[in-house]
Amino acid sequence: MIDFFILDKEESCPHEQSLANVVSATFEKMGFMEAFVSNTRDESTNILCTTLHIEAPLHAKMYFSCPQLLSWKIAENLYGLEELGPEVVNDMMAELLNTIAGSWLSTIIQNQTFTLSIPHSCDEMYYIDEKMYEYHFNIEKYGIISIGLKNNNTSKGG
Amino acid sequence: MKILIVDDATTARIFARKCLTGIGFHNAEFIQAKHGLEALEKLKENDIDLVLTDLMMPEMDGETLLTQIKMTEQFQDIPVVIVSSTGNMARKNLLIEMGAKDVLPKPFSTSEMFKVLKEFLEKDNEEEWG
Repeated sequence: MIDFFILDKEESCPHEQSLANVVSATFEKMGFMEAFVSNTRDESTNILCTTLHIEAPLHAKMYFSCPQLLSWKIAENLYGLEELGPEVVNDMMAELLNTIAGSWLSTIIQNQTFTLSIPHSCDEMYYIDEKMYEYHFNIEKYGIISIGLKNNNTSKGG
Repeated sequence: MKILIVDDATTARIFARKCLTGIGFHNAEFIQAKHGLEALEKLKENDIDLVLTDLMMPEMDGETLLTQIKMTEQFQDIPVVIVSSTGNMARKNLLIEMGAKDVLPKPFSTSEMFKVLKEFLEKDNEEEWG
């Protein structure tokens, strides 16, 4: 498991299939939508972003970014139009990230407990650097979401 | 039947309520709390039959809530089902040892929720028919 966070970029998207399974199950069960792996990120400028910390036993930061129009579409599928608002959409983003992060870590860390921080919206869109993995998923015909995972250890390889 | 749904995310509480209604809890009264402390207040104010709680919440998390419920004579017989995305086997076993009735991993479908809650559903339906 420690190897997963040695971000040597030899493998561009480690555990991509398990993340794809989790994202697919999450969108199907919570949003009644289908998700597929994509090779590109969404180029929209109007992006919502949510983040959380994986605090133990690993130290990483996870991001979930989604075009605003898509986030409203997902929320619409969950709530129905009459209950929508910006606060609800942000809350849904946080809940989706929490569910995806927890579910994914549960599959790749079988026998240890782990701790996640409470997700929050981040104003700054995350930027890609050499210490980060990025995964993209097409949500039916509506747009592409991205999941970013960044090593949050001070020493490389932690 | 009164079901207490405890989660800091509005999304999760609405989704849980929809699923509970979807699997047949038509007669249940749903009471909501945003964290463990609020849940303890709701438990004091209402005659709760079942608690569905998330783990990660501000103020008081689900694990502490579970401990408080099981330590309080007035509440200790109330079944607590943990609904959590951090429910790997290691965590699940720990929570069951602590007194949780079951652990429903997120994301869940209505059929997965049904499997975990069917015994309570029977109770809810018995209430309907007297």
